[in-house]
Amino acid sequence: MIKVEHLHKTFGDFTAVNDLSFSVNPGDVYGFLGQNGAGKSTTIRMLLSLIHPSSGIIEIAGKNLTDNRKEILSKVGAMIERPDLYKYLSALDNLKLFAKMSGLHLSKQALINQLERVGLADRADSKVKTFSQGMKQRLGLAIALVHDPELIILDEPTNGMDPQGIADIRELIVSLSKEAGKTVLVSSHLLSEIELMANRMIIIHKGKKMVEGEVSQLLNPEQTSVRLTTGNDLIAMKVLSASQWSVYMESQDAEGIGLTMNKKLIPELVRFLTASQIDILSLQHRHSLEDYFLKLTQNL
Amino acid sequence: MLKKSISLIFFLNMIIAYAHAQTIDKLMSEVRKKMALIKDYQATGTMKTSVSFLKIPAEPMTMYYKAPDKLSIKTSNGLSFVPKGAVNLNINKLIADKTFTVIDAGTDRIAGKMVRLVKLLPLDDKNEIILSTVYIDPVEKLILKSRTTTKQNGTFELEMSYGKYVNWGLPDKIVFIFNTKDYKLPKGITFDFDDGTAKSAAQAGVDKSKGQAELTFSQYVVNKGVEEKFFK
Amino acid sequence: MWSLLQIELYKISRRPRTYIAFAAIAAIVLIFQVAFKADGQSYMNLMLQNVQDNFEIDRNKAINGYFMCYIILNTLLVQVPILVALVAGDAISGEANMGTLRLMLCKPISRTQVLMVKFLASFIFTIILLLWMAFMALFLSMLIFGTNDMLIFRVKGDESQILQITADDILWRYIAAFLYAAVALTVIAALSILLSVFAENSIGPIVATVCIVIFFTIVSNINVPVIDRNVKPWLFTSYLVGWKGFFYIGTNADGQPLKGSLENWESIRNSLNILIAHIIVFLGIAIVVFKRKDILS
Repeated sequence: MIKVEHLHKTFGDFTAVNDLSFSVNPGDVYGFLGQNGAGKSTTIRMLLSLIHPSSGIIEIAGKNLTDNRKEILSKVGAMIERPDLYKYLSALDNLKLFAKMSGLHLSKQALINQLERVGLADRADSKVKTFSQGMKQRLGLAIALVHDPELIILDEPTNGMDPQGIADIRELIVSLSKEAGKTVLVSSHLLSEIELMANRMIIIHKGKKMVEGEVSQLLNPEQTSVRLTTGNDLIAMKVLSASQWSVYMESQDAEGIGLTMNKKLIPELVRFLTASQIDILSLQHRHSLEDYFLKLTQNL
Repeated sequence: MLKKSISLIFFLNMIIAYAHAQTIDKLMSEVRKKMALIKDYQATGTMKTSVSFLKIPAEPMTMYYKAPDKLSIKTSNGLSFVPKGAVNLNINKLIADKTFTVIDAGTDRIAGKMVRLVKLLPLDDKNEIILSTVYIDPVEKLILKSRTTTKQNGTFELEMSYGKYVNWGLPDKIVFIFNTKDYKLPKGITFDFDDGTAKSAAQAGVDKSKGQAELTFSQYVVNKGVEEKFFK
Repeated sequence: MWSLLQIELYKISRRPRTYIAFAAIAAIVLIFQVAFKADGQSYMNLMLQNVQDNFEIDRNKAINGYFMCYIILNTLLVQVPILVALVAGDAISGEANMGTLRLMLCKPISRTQVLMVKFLASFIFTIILLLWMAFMALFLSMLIFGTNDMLIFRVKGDESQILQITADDILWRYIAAFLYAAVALTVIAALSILLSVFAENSIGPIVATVCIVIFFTIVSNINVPVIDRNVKPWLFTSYLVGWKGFFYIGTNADGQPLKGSLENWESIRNSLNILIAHIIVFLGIAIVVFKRKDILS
């Protein structure tokens, strides 16, 4: 659905996107992960022709974006960052205007149905200036979806939302892909969020691709890293080294003992340590990718 | 020979001057007599004003007169600039007035025609008029021109041309020449559109200190009575 | 395109600030009318000055609806650029500020189209504003003050002049003047839109437009020959008052105004051409810049 090759964007001396290539397949929920300032927004804006690439090729639905801008954009729905919308207009009027811009003249009922989808039907006639950030976000989503696009590009869609809102949006995104067969590209700075929605993902850092692939592979449970602190780490080390757990052991330092293993084995490990009369003070597990991502974040 | 000629001319002049002195009072009284024929009139015509700073259209007007000294000019409904000295168009009043000393000032020519010059000096110091010179056609007993100097409004001139109504002593045309003060709007008040032609358009040789109103009469209604309301 | 224009007009119509312009015009006009109804004579005295020493003038007739409209336009058309900037200066930057520009531009509409529609909407707003002005300043004044011949007080080069236009020769001049004003104000709209393309808040372009207009107007009114010759022709503000050209009636050799004539149609036409050229240039630059612009707002 999207094919990006060797994309570059510089603003003066600053390189925002550096030789970025990736592809999104039809029907994907594609996670676009990166910390703030990694180049996510710049890339997304280039996909929407809001920013002109310094070099590189963008193809959407098999066509070059620069040459087929109008045709492509008619199939794309987008929400970029926090939309403020026309504050002096109602939710319904906002939706109606953007539908018209896509060349659609929808009935009031059809528009209300769209608002229903994002849980705003009861506020259809309220002016947007009375809306919370979360509500604007929902309306922005409705605007992105109003013309039934094949490709939906969402830039940090859950930003500023309450937990219920985040869950709602997540559910909507998954259903758009699974039930309506839409392709969704969703950006976030939270791995946990991508993990819950996306089937494929990319991590970018300082404008460069760090890793891209299937979420199930990248977040393989085999690769869970476990950090253990006990009453006496030296004894615990000895006990573990002497057992079948030794194969998973990675490191030992002041912060505890590090192991890499399948997530499912954790209860068994706990039982073994307890049986070995070792007091567990803490046990943290996280995926290695998350470790990796955290390191990127801390580097900033 | 030369001496003789000079003395002859001198002599002739003496005779002419004497003749003038003899007849000036008679001429004045004849002019007055002719004027006395007219009790009132209503004259219709147009008024054309020429003042360097005024660009206003010629306008239909009616002049009303009632002896001895009522005169007014009324224009149509439009906006009009009626010369204030219009009251002075009433030269009749001046002639009829006995409070002036009449002085014979010799002769002159207007359009090839010999005219008598009469100077009128007010007896009263308080009179607005300082001096008035009147040019009279001694044959037709008509006033052809007058030049009046006033205390407040400078000098103005009247030039009369006669035609259809000559028998009544009423002119077909009066040209009223008066002094105008310079008209200057403060710059910046009007935010004018400068089309760049101003410099070249500034007419050279136009006398900005004089204005002129030309009254052309096409019809007189004489001695049929004029209502008082026209003089208000 | 038509549907986009409808959207733009709808947005303008729903924005409270749009009505500031209409209210401002109504307020200014009404103040003028009340003031002149109460004491227009003083103004006439000021303008006529010593002309009244020589002439009897009916000042009540002189202060009529046509004259009032001219006086009001004289003042108002200096201020209206601000009102046009208020809407046109907001056209692009206001959307950038609200975060709707990016939403608009990722719809299947070309940027040129967006800009043209914004321009057309500002143009229509300008026309409606002028119609409102015509209604308030001309027709309402005609109702209140009646109609009669009209006096134009004018400074031409070093000379001051009073022109008189007869009542039956005026209305077409106003129609022409309003059409000219429409073109002149469209220059302001185009300039505001151009500045709007560069900004991401609406105050910037509005203030910048107003500053440019004020600065140029001051420079073109310095009245120093060097500036008059070398600078003034290059400032578009010099041509904004060209509508007055329609009231500079032509005269014959005797200085008598000729009904239905213009003193200098050539210069009005040239001014119009210059203004239209400005619109094209401002708009052209705006389109080029806007097309190349990275939308970061």
